[in-house]
Amino acid sequence: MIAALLCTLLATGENVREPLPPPPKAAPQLTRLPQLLEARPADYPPDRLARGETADVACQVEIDAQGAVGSVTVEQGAAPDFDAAAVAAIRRFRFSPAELDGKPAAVRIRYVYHFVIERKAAPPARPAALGLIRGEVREAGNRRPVAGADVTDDTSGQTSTDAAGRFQLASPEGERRLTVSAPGFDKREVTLTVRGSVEAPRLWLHRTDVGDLQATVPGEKPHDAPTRRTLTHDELVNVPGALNDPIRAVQNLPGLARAPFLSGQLIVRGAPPQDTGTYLDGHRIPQLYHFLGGPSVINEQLLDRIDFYPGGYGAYYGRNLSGAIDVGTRKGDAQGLHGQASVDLLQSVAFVEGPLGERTQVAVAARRSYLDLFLPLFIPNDPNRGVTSVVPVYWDYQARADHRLAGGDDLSLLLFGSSDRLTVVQKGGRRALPLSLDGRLGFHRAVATWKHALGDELSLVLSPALGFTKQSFSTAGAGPGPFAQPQTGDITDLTLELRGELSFRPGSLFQLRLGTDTQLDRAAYTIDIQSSLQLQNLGIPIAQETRFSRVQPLQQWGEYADAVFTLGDLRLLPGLRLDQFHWREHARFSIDPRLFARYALSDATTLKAYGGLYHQPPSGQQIDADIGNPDLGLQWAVQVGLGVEQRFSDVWNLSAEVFYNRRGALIVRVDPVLLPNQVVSNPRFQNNGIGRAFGLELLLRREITQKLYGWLAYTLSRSDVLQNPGDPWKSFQYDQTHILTLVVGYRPSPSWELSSRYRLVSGNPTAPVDFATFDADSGGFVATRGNFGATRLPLFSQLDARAQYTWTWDSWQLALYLDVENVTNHLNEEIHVFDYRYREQGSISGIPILPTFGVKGKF
Amino acid sequence: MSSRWTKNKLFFFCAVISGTAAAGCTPSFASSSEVTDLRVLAVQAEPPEAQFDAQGNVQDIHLRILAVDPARGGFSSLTAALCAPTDSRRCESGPRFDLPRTTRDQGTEFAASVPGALIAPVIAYAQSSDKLKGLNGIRLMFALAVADGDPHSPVAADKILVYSKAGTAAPNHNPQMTGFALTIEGAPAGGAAPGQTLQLRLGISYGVRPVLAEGAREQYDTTDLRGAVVHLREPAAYAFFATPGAEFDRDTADEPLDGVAPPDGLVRLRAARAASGTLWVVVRDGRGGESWLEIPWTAS
Repeated sequence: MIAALLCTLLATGENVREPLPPPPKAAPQLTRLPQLLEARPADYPPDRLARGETADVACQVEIDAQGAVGSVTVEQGAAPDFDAAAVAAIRRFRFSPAELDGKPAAVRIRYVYHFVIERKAAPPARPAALGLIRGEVREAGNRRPVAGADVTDDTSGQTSTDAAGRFQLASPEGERRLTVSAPGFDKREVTLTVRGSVEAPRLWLHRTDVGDLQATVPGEKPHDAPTRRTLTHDELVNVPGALNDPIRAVQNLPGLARAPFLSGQLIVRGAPPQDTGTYLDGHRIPQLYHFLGGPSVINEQLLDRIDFYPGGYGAYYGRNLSGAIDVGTRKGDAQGLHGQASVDLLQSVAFVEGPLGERTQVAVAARRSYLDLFLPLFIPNDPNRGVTSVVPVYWDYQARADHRLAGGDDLSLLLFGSSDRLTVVQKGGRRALPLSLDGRLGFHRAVATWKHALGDELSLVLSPALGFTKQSFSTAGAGPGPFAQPQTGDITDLTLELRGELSFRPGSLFQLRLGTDTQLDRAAYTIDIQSSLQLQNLGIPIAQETRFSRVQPLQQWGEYADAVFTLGDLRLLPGLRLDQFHWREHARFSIDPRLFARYALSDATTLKAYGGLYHQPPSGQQIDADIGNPDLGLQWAVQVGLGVEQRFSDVWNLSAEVFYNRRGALIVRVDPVLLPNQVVSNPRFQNNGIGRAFGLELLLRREITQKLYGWLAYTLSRSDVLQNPGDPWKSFQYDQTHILTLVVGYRPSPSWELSSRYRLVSGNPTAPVDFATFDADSGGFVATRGNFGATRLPLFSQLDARAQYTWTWDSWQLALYLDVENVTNHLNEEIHVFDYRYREQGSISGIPILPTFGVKGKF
Repeated sequence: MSSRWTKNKLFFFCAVISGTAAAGCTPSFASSSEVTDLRVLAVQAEPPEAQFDAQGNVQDIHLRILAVDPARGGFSSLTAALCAPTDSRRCESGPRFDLPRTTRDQGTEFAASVPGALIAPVIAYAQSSDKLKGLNGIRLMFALAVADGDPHSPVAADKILVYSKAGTAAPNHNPQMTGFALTIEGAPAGGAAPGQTLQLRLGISYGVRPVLAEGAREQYDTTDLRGAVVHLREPAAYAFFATPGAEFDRDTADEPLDGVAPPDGLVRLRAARAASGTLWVVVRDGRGGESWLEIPWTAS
C-alpha cells in the first residue's frame, strides 16, 4: 500500500481581503514550498482493503511557521471511514516550513490523500554496486521547479525533489528507467545509464491539473479599509471585455459606474473621476490609462494585485473625495529567468524577470502602440469622403529591482514612465475643419523603498519618489472662433514625494501606525492661447490672445495615525489624517478623523460600519491666477456606511453594504458680476457646489478554485449635484440607478481558459429638448432643455466573451486569445445627438461587436 | 463591394479608437447650409448698438429679418417682443414690449422697428436683473417667431439688442460685404455682387471667398473678464446657405486673421444639377453686427 503524496497549494481567502490596517505592500512571494518530512501511512479501512476499494480524500491543511500541522478539514471527501483515516494520518505529518520572501511562514495547502492498494511484486535483487543519479524536475512551459515530485527507478529506489526541484537518487549501476510523477502533472519516464555519479537530463512535467500555486498567509492579510476589493492576477488577466488589460477588470466591481465607450474612467460612488485617487505602490500617479481609452500604463505581468477602495478607507490615503485604487507591483522571479511577449492589433508588449544573484531580483517591461502606423492603411485618404482621424500614440516602461541586505532589510527601486501623444493621422471629410493637433502627456517616476525591522514589534518603511511630468498641446482649427486659432501650452511638473511609516505591533490586541505622506510640486507653465475673454460678447466669441509663463509651487504635507484595537470579536480602527496645502501665499489645512469597526458575529458573518471625513485640494488649473482662482478652498466629503460579510463556504461569500456620501465646497464655474464699487468680479471658480450619493452594493463571489471563479456585482445608487445656491438639484452626469455585472471564468483544462461577462446598466441621465431657438447673434440654434435627469438613455446591455488556448512546450508557452466585446452586437446608445435645429434626433452607439485577438509567448 | 468593405473596416476602427473624429461615427443629418423650408437666417439691427442719453432719450432700432421659405414662398407672418434676456429665449417674465404682428405675401425679409421712447421700463428691468448691471451696455432680447402654416412653424429666433450710454464708447456698425470672389482650382473665376445672378457650371467646384467692405472689421475698447480695458478687433464669421441644387462643402468659415484666404477660397460651392435658386452669405462681427448677401444662381 502506498500513500501517494499530493499537495496543491491553493488560493483561498486571498481574493477578498476586507479587514484592517498596515500599508499596502506587495503580496509576499512563496519562495519555498513546505516539504513533507514525516508521513506515517493512514490506517486503511479493513473492509475497504478487503474489497480492493481505493479513494482520494482532498483536505485543506494549515501548516504553521514551524512546519507543524494545524487544522485539517475535508474539502472533498470519499466516505466517512476514508475521510477519518486521512485526517488522522495528515494530523501526524510533519513538514519543513514554507517560506514567504525567504522567511518561514504559515500557509494553507490543499492535500489529496490517495488510498491506493499496491500490488506487491518481488523486487529485483538490488545489485551491490550503487551509482548516484542527480537531476532536476521543472514544470513545462514556465520552467519553474516542481517541488515534492516523486522520483523512482525500476528497482524501487525512491526520492522526492526539493524546493529547487532537484533530487539525488542512489540507484544500481546499469541501464535504469527513471519515473517522475507529481500531483497535477503527467508522468515522465526517462532511461539512462548509471555509472558512478550521473546527471540526468532536465525532466519536464506537463500540467494535467488546473491552477497556479498561490499562498494564503493567515494573520498577514493587508487590511486598512472596511471595504477593500482585491482582484488577484488570475482573475484580472482573463476578464473579457477588458481588452486584455487587467486594470480594466476593476470596473466590474460594485461601486463603479459604467464608463462610456472604451474609456477607463473611474466613476466611484457617483463622483467624477478626478475625485478618485490612483496610486502605484502607494504613490500617486498622473494617469492610470493611456489616452482615449487606451490600456493602463502598467504592464499586466508586473501586477501583483489591484486594491480598490470604494469609500470609507483609512488615513493612509488622502486628498481624495471619493475612492482610491492602488496598483501593487511584484518582485521579479527569484528562481530563474522568465519573460513574456505579446502582440495584438494595437500594441506590442515585452516583459523579462529573473534573479541577479541570491539576493536580488529584477523585472523589466515595455510597451509600444502602433495604431498610428496601422490605421492610415485602412481609412480612405480622400479629402471629401475621408475622415479626420486622431489617434493616440503611446509607450510605457517599468523596471523594478529588489535587494535583500545581509541584515534582513529590503530595498527596492521602481522606475516607470509613460508617454502619450495625440496625433492626426489622416485629414479629410466633407465638412472637416483644417485641424492640426499635437497633444502630449509624459511622466517618469523613480520610487525607492526601504523596509527595516527595528525589532519584533517595530518596523519602518521609507519610500521617497521623484517624478517628472510634462504636458503640452498645440492645436489649430479645433473649432470655431478662438479654437480655430493656433494655441499652445506647455506644463512641466517636478514632483518630490515621501511616504514613511512606523508600525508598532506590541501584540495582537493593539497596533499603531504613524506615517507621513508628503508631495512637493513645482509646475512651470507656458501658455499661449486664444480665448474669449471679452465680457458680454455676442454670438461668436471674440478671440483675445492670452500669454503667460510662470512657476506654480504646490506643497502638500500629510501626516496620519491609524490604530487597531481588538476587543474580542470587535475590532475598532480609528484613524486621523492631517493635511496642509500651500500654494504661493495661500495655505489650507484639513483634519480628517476616520473610524471603522468590524464585529464578527460568527465565524461566517461579520458586520462593519464606518464614517470619515475626506478633503481634496483644487487642481493646478483651478488655482492659477489667470485662468483659475487662487483663493479657492478645499473640497470636503463625509462618507458613512454599514455592511455585512457572509461566508457561505470556502469559496462562496457575499458582501452587502449601504453607503451615503455628502460632498461640499465643490469647485464650480461661476459667472462674472459687477460689484457695487463698479469693479468687475470674475473669480471663475468658487467652492459653491454640493453633492450627495447613496446606495447599496452587493458582491456575491465564488473565489478561484481549480476550474471555476466568478462574481455577481450589483449596485443600486443615486447621485445628485447642486452647482450654485438657488439652483435645483441635478443628476450627476453618470448617475446609474442599477448596475449589474456577472463575471464567470472556467478552466476545463490547463490549455483552455474561458470567461464571460454580462452587464446590465441603467442609461445615463439626459436633459430633454423642449424646443430650439435660432440665435441670430451666433448663427446657431440653442436648445431649451428640461431638467438634467428628467430622461435617460436606454438600458445598457452587453455580453462579452473570451477564450484562450495555450500550447505548452518544455521551456515555453504560446497562447492565442480571442476577446469579443458585445457578442450579441446589441446597440447601446451612449450619446444623443441632434441635427442643427434639434428637429431630428440620432444617437452615437457604443461599440458594436468587437473581436480582438492576440498572441502571447511566455518562457 | 470594395467601398462596403472599406466602410466596415472604418466602422471597426471608429469603435476601437474613440478619438477618431466624430465625422465617421455620427449619424448623418442635413447640413444647416441646405435651405429647404422656412428658416430665419439672420437678423440685422440698425444700429447694432443703440444709445441713450442722460435725459432718457433712447435711439430707435430698425430691424431686418432674413426669413426665407423656398418650399412655400408665399404668405408668412412675424410676431415679436422685446424683454430682458431669459434662459428660455422667450419673453416669458418681466416687462415686455410687443411689436405689432407683420405679414407678407412674398419676399425674403421682414422689417420691424423698436421705438426707443416706449421701452424705458424694459431697459430698466434688464439693467437691474443683469449680473453686470449694464456694464458694456444694457442688453435686451428681441424674440421673434415666423409662421408660414407649416407643421414645424412657427420658427423661433432671438437677437440681443444693446443700448449704451451715449459718449461711453464708439458705437458699433454692421459689417458689410461687397460680394464674393470665385476660383476654380485656385485660379480666379470671377465673382458675384448684389444684383447679379451667378452662373454655375455643373460638377465644377468653385472656391468662394467673401469680400468685406473697407473698415468692416472695427477696432474697439471693451472690458475683459478680469475687469481690464482691452483693445480688440472684431472677427468676421461667415455662414453660407443655398437652396437645393447647389451646395457648400462647409456651413461656416472664419475670416483669416491675416486676411489671406487659401487659393481655393474659404468654402467650396458646387452645383449638382441643372437648376436655379438663391444663395446667401451672412457675416457677423461678434458684437451683434451682421449683414448678408443674397445672390440668385442658375446652373447649367
